[in-house]
Amino acid sequence: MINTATNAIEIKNLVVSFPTPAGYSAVVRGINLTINPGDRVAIVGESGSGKTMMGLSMLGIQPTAAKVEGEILIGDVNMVTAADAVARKLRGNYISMVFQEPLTSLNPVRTISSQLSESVRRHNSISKKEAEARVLAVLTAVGIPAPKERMKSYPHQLSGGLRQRVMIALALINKPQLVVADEPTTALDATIQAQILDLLRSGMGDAALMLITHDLAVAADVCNRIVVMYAGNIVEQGPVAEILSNPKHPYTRGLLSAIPKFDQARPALNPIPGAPPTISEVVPGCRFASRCSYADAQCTASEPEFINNIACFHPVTGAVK
Amino acid sequence: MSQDSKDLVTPITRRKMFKSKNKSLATLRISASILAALFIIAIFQPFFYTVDPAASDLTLRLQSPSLDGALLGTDALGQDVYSRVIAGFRWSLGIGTVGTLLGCLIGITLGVSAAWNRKRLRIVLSRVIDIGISFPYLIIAVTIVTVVGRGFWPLALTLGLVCWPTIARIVYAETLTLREREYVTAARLFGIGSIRSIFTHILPALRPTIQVVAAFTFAELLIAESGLSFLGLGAPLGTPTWGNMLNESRLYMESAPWMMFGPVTAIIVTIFTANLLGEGLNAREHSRSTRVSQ
Amino acid sequence: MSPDKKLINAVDLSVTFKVPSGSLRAVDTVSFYVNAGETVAIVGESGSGKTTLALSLMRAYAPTSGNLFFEDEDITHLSEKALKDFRKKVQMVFQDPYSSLDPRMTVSQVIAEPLRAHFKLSANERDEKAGESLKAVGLSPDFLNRRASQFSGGQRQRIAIARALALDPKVLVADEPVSALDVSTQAQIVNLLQSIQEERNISYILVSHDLRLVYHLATRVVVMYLGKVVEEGACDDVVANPQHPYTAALLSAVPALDEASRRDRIVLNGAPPSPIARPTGCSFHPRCPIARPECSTNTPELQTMPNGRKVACFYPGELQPHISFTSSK
Repeated sequence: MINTATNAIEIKNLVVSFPTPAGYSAVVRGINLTINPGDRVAIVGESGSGKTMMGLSMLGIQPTAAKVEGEILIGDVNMVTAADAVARKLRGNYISMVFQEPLTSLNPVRTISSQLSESVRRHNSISKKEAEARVLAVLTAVGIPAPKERMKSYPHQLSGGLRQRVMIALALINKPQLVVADEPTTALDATIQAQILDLLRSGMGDAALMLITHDLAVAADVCNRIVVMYAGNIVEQGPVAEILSNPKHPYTRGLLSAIPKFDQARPALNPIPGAPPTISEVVPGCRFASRCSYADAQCTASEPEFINNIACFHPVTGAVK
Repeated sequence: MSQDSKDLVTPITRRKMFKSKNKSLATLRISASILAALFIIAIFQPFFYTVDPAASDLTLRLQSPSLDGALLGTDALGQDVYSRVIAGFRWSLGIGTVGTLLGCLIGITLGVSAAWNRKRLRIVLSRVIDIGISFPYLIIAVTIVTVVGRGFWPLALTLGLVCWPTIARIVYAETLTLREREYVTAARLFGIGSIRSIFTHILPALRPTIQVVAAFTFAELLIAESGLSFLGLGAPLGTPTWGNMLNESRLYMESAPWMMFGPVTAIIVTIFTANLLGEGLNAREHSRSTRVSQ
Repeated sequence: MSPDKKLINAVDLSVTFKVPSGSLRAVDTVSFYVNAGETVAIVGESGSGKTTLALSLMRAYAPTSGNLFFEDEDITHLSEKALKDFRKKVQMVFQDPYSSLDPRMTVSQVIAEPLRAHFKLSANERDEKAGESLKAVGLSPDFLNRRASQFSGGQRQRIAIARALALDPKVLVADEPVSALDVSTQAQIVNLLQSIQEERNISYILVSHDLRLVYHLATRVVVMYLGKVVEEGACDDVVANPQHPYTAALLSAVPALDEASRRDRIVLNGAPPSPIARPTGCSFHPRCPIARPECSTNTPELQTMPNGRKVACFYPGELQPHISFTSSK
């Protein structure tokens, strides 16, 4: 049996790379991260930052072309090297995932109830009746109104918000240690997003949450810790309040000042100039240097290491205006 | 992000992609070259004759193939089978080409007009296409040819007139999805008229599909043409076409079996190549569209 | 041009679509106008009819009832031919810069497409005009001969904006112009839209669900729910003091960077109902936190308040969200 005594999920020096005509290029470039029980960690970054690929490889469901190196430790199992059977056992049971588009992740020809109870029974030897009772309990817990009736529905009969609740129920049903949620509210309407954010913040039971998002405000809304990724690296991490009030990395500051706010003066937004490096682009030094207003010769000469929760030669202090 | 999760569902490694792409490209190149060669034979056929295909020498009838005499033997009238097979290229490829072009013209016009129109015209035209598809086209062709008479143009035009429904249906379906593309809506809101929009956005996007359909239609018309000629409904008797030659060889199946080898090989090779071309074009289009979606 | 001249003016506009189960009134007696140089935002969730309204303001759909005026001319029933001049003056930027540009066209062809609909141009003139438009959106004219499919999302949206600007329009309809883009790129496009408006005095009709963006860009806001306008007014006023509970909930739903907004969030129950099965009375009452029995039987009309605000609610202003305003002044 799998020993999960340590109760923490540890990522050590994770590298995910893809074959390109010029050899393997890394989209995740050596990441170290520990997620403790009950943590709600947000992984924030733009498209191409490697955040999704990191999430997928944590469950061992990265695209087949991807090469994963390093360690993803769930208890004493290393997800990277684990046999398929072991990884399958862990998925759903110890670590599960919520995707952006629930309709494409649910089986359209099976009822909600049959999909959820199948998941229960795959990991537990219990009767159909017991499984259904558990399904009902978890559907109630994720706030689905009239759960008894909804159990008999098919995914397309539910609204987008309810489908996402079903996805979350599916992720939670085996009481995993960690739920990875990849942009779970991006496809939803504003008022529905608010409902799901509420659920993610306070309805996850004992499971830790890793929320992958491009929106710092969504991250701040749900999580207690923020990890900022840029072009495959973690560039800064810290408690939400700390990151919002005193962001040190120029990229984090850039992200914060790029969001429009309810500011009566309506100052022009401060976009981050340029675009992130492409996957095959070789960048000497800090990968953010070309877009950074603080960059100097040191930044293009060598890559800053991730020390004291930040990877920058010139950390800035003070709040972002 | 959604792209990443899409990869999950259909994992395609790059190497696999390259491999299948190269293979389909090779199919395409080979079949296109063979077909081009066949067309060259059809156009410059006098250069490929060993003797005049029409010349008959009754003293040399039913001779078996030999390297220094008639390459593929001679028929009952003492005509050279090889030269007659070569002569048949012009007839068959010509009818295939004219028929396919006419069929495409009718099919594209009807298909695009039916899909583009939002009102009554669409209902009428799509019914017309449905009816066209449900008719057995070979029987219609037989009827028309019987009434109009034999010959190159009657046959070519008849085949063109009966082969459009499939083309129209495919074009119709594809245009329906293309019409909903945002850039087509955008064009309308810029004040661009329907005709212009069809020519700048719809037809260029349809081109790959039309190429594939045309290649398959071409192969189909070759079969139809040979069939009709074989039944004596195609070329006037005595014209050197593959179908006619097959028909003539029937009587001598036991005494002079070589009479049918030539035309049969020509029919098989041409149809096979045209089908291969269709497959190749289809595979190329498919690999393109998957590349775009990634 | 006088500052308060109505460029586009819709009066009691309705748009109905036929669906298998009957008819769907996507836009229900909506009056809407946009003045020269202002930005009017149409706000709502999916199914609210905001995009349908924007498109019908462009006469992409023929209205089923009501009237549409452009510069005081009634264009409700004009033929596509007669609309040509209108089409020149009203342009659009779509949400998804991937599907709104023909992947087979070069950048030059994309940008020149609207030009060629209205003028006869030589290839050189076309490239020249397209190059100018490209410069106006901050892209190098060297890109003219590349295909649109070679560019990133942000660059594509710039190309789409360049195309919309090519005819020097008076009104630009932007349907969620940044929601498909990354945060850092969003800010670039928002700033670009602002500077274009300052330079050219174009009116914007902004369709968006992002109230932070709306607050940042718009002068006036129209809030829609199930095809109807439920609130309308000056942007500052609506955000600072929402009258309709739906507006309050939308404002409150904005993901917030501060603790207080989150704690006091108004979270609505359920999802918007289908426009085919519209609730009786006030359409919003099944989800409304302050609904009274009468709300399910009587339909509130859109009332104009003394300060020019319009609201369709029996209890205006009762529900207030917590919003943390900042001021960088």
